[in-house]
Amino acid sequence: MDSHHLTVGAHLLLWAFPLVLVILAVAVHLLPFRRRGDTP
Amino acid sequence: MNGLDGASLVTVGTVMALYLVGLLAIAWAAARRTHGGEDFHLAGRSLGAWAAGVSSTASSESGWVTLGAVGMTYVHGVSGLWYAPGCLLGYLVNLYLVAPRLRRLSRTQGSLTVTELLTTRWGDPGHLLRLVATAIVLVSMMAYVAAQMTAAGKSFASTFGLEGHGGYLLGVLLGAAVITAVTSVGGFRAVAWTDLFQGLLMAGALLALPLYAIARLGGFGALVSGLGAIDPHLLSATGDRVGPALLGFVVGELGIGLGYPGMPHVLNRYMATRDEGEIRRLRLIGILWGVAVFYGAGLVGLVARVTLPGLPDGERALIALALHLTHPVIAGLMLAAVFSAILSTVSSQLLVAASAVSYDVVEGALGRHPDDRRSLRLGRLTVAVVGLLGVALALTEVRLVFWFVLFAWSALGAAFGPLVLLALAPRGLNRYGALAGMLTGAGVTVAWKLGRSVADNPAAFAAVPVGAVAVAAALLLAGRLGGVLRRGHAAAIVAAAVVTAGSWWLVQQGGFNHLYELVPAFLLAGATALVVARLTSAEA
Repeated sequence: MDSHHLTVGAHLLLWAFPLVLVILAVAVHLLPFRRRGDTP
Repeated sequence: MNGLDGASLVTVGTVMALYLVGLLAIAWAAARRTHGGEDFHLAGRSLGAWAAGVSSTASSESGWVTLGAVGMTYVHGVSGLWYAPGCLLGYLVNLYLVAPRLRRLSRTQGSLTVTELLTTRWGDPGHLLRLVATAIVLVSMMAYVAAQMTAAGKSFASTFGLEGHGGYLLGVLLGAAVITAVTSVGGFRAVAWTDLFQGLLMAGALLALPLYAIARLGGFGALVSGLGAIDPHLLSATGDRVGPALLGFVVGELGIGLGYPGMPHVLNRYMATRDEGEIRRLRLIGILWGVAVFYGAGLVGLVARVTLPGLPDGERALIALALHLTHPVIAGLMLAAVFSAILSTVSSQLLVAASAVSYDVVEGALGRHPDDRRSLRLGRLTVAVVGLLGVALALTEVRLVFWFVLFAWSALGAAFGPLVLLALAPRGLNRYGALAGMLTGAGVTVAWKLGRSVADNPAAFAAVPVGAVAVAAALLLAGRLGGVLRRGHAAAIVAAAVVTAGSWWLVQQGGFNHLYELVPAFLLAGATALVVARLTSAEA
């Protein structure tokens, strides 16, 4: 992998990470995952 | 000097004064609901998601985020932003793995502090584990508190143009007086409520300021071309590193996140949360806050580099940008946000340091008293004494304190992080493994850091093995004299000393000196804890 691809990949990781994190956090919060001990 | 005229200074000063009065008002309201020891040390385990969530995150991010992190991207450009995913990985582990389990465990045990949680988890009949944990907490927290008070004094003096005119003294005294009063009078509840207020102020400031500044600049395109015109390297996400240097840099930056599961002033927020439903909401709040604050701070540094390229100190970029671009009322709020980052951490750490003395040691030795008001009075008095000590350290600018604070985040993270994670597992560790892990985490942090800088500091060359042997000998002697030393304790102490000295040797073998000390310290502490626990399983 040359340095150009490396820096593009690093940019993607750096900037996409918070977006993915927020989307997952909202999804986990909103979706009705059953917690251990919950009654159906 | 800030270039503000007299009227603007008065406006900024008035906003700051209102902010400090607001903190005191919140503390007064909290104090009216604080009646006993559990209230003082853990807010009666009654925190809701907003107070616990924002408080846990705001107290973990000190003046470092509004000063240091901003300065990182101001100086290094985009590659200075790698701390952000590192910290957010730490948030993920804490919020999704640690928080619910820690809350349940502390409630089942009835533990009020992290030290009590760990010592109760595996039993500590000779109090050696408690002694070591308290020493690490006290030294790290006091160093942190003094360094934060110093940061408050310097920010205050430079903003108001009072450097060399008593501004530093005034800033330290003002910040310390308010925050010691808040913590002493209102205890944990006041600390959490003021953290919520201050945390929201920080997130608002760190979101609004860069977006406004980027819009003024002409949009994100103008920001990118502006950075490229100053220096194309500022746009490189790798800082033009390649190979092992890049790998070491990224692993080290992401490794900052390993510290979070070991921070007592963050973990006790989860212990104080009311129920599981609040923990569930707290997670989302924590993640959103973290993304806003870390990436907001990074963007402030980047946009300030284009708007104000000639700043002598990148750490002043937030305040300088606010004073340059906004109305003095908004600039006052931005300065309040800088102080919020500092004071929300100081209050939390003051309380943890005071709890270590008044609850873990004094009450532990005297026995828990049925009269809960004694615990409250003792807690308040200890906060006041610890606060005064912090002021004294900040004012005398004791060199040793600033030496210790370099280690504080890593030492706490490596000494407590692996143990907290292992405490939440059903089995695997015992009291001897826990003692070995705690000593190894703190020891390897110091050894690795000194080992990295050994070329600049030949005196450190001999200090690490001598120090490791001296600490081990002192603990063995204390345990023997106290009649509490068992073979498992001795194995733990010797193992920690050997691993500490070994890591000091390892870092000098080359190839490792780019690696941030928390990463090896955390991994070696966890491994040593597990191995010692396995070897001493029959005795425990």
